[in-house]
Amino acid sequence: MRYKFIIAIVVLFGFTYLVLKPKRNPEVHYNAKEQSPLSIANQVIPDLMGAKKDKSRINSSPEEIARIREAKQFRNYLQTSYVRLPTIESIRISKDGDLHRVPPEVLESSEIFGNITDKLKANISLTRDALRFYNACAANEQLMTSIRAVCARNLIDWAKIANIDISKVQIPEKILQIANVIPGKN
Amino acid sequence: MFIRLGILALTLVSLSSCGLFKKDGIYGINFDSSVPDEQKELLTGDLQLVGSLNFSGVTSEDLDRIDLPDLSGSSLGSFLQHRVRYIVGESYDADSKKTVVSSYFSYNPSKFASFASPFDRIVTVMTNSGSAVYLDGKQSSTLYSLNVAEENILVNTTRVGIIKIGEGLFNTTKLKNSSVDSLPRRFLRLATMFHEARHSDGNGTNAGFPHSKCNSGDFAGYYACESNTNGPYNLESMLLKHFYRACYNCSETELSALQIAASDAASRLIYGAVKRDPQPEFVR
Repeated sequence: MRYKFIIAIVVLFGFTYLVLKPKRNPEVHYNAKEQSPLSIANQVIPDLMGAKKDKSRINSSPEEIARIREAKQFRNYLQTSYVRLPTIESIRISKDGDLHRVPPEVLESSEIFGNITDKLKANISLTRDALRFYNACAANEQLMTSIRAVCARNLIDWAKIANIDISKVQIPEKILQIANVIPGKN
Repeated sequence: MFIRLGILALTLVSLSSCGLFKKDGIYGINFDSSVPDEQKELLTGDLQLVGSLNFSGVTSEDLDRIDLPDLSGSSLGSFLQHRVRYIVGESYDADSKKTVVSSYFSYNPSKFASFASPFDRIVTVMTNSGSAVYLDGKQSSTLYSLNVAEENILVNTTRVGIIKIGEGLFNTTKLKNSSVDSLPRRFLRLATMFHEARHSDGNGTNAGFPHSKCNSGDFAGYYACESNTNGPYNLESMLLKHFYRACYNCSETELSALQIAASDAASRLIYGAVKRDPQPEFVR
């Protein structure tokens, strides 16, 4: 009887903790180096590959399965690439450069943007995932301003190419100013 | 007869070695012996490319940034010709090559630019050494001369045009799968060359078009920002935009590199930047 009472107390405490535990707000605790842009809730650009869509694809054709696999690989690429984008902190820590010129780490991220563009040109249906990536990047204050502006430029350009409405997307004014003067796809 | 011809040939060879028949490079730009041959060859190719450039969609705002009537190859070449006279290598040490011509020299105009020491430069990309020595002399009221390319040059203007290049300009790790002599790599180097060329301009407080201290942002605390709409960064950003558009048959990665470089340069512009007089400063 005594043991049952102790177990009941422990279960009650555990339950109370789970109920009262503060929930993490993904937008508040957003960290460039920890979270993928695709795991962040975004009400503006619609969900891309939700569970419903996946279920409907179970009995799909080999082409459809290949398409889903390609989309999944692309998402994985975006997730791993996102954490490779240069942050302000990483550039400041780096001592082997000349800050008066474009830092090498910043220029090297051209490979990421080039690969994404190549994949989009081959398969336009991947655009929504790319737009989420660009949107998260443009909004991320931890990233280098120049990179954020390139993301904003790509967000605007690819939304136009794929005819996706991004009018409700809010790009920071300073980032938009730079994005408007750099070359792009249009 | 053969003896006379032999003597004539020997005379020509010796005069040539003395520099009497010295031939200037493209746009009159000479290379110091401190520039490695492979770098010299690449830069010569870069300069040759300038003459063939022909951009479309050039706006009056673009021209305002570079103070040229147009962006034709000949105009761009002329821009470099007036601002870059010598290219020196990474091993060139301006301090050991300079000689005091006059101490307590009176500079007029005597207004000073905000002069910044170079940052931690382990990898040199490109610097305008001539303009830096001029500003150094102006600050210390000393007139210098510099020994470069076997000549002694009086450093009495920001337009002395001595540009120092380093390994960082040719660093192959920055842009994968793109050879060092590819078009985008040439464009990136040329953008840097035009940036440094602009440091040969300006007068008074703006002599040498110095960079401003960044009060906030990515480079806060460093002299890596721009307060002039026609300064080196804004000029570079404008050119990179046109280089991007002219980069035919370039890969998406190469185009992205030009886009990022343009974005980096544009991000340096400080709010409230104004156009400044580009006329260079001279003292006699």
